[in-house]
Amino acid sequence: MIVLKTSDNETFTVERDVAERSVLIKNMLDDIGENSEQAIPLPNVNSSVLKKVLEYCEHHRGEPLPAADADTSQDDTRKRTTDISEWDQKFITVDQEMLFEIILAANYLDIKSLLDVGCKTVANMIKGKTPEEIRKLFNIVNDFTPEEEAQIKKENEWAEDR
Amino acid sequence: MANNISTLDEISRLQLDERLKIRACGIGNLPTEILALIFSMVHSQSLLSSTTKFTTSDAVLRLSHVNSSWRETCISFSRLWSHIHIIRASSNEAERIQLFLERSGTSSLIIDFYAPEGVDLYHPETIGMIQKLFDACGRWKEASFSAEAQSLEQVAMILSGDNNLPQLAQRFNFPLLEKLAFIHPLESQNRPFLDIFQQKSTPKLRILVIPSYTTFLPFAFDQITSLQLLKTNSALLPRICTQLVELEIGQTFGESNELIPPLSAAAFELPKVETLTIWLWTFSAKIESGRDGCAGCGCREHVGSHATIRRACAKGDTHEAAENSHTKAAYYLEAT
Repeated sequence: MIVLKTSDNETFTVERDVAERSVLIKNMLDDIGENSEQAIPLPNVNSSVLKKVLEYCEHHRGEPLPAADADTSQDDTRKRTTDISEWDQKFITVDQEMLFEIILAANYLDIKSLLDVGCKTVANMIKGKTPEEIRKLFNIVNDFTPEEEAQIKKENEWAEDR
Repeated sequence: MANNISTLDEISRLQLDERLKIRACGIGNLPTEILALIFSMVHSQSLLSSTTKFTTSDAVLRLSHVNSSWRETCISFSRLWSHIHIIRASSNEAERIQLFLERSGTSSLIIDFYAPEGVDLYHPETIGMIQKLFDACGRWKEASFSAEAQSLEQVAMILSGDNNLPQLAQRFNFPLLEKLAFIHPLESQNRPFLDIFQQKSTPKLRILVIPSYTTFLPFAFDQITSLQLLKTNSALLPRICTQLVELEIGQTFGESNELIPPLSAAAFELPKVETLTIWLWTFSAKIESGRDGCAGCGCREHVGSHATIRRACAKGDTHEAAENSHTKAAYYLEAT
């Protein structure tokens, strides 16, 4: 068992194979050695997010880890779909703030499959929406300069022309 | 004093607001590389969707129209701009193509050229667009032409300009081109255009989609590993395509160009084929024994009106288990 310490000073005791779904934690454990009882500090993750992340790691324990360079080529990007398994879909049904926290945590902890699930979820939220609908969905401010607006208007004409 | 308290309260409130703002994690907190990953997923989704076949460009443009940060991310991620749909019916096409060519940087390109039936390509805008596109031929990785023979002939004339048509083939080189597709039937007058894609100009061409085989096609058939044919001649196919790993076919014709009738077997010997997909309109198909004595095990998946048949296996093993066990098996296609 290993101990993880969050940014809000909570500790979580988890089995090693669950924690090692995170490449960051796996590398840390490799560095500090087998018998260390030292808590691993995770200053970028708070307890509520880590709880969710560990729920994901627990569910997917034992599954093969994706290759480090998987899905980075142009072809793989093209082949990538936005399908999410039923369990993952249920798991990631959270409010927007938690969704982005999970994505940031997955990125920091280097859990590629979780990062993929989070990003796919956001991609699914975006697809088929107009820029205005996207702004509204994510509370994004339109900060374009008048020059940029003029260029965008022109580009919009190209899109609407078909 | 009261004023000071009020100011302190104000400062506290502002600090609290600031803290709440920091705490509330939104899409704006995502680093550029993650935002780019999300954009690439939205982009992939639009590529895979048949309903948005010709609107991929629109998906990228839309993402770049949300705010300045998204625009910067889109523009800096050149691969998002590498899939270019050309639709002759659209105005400002040359300007749009130029934008995509610039923003795609040095990325390899995927070109979808679509010209509606009977459209006249001799339009200054279109001429400029076609020239710009072929000027970037060194970056083409995949190209698909959904245009009638007459339109392709016009493209050849536009590209040749004042020069002779026969010299057209010498002007273009496609060192990265791996996939080439022609959706409509090709005619003999398309020869000058097709010669652009002859073997020495397309050293990496491996995937070919053509409606049917005719002798004037200049493609490097002996290096093609994946072939899709709407109509095929059963006797000709093994002779021209010796390296095929993947074959997708529609109607099959016999030696005298007759449509093979039901219950009459047509045999192709394609020693390297691993995946065979047969499109069926009026009859079903089954795969029979190979030379290794493997009887069809029912490795078929019927989806609507087409069947995908992968390696047949004697013992009914899974496709994966049979993967390497019949490398020399011949495939016999029988219309039933």
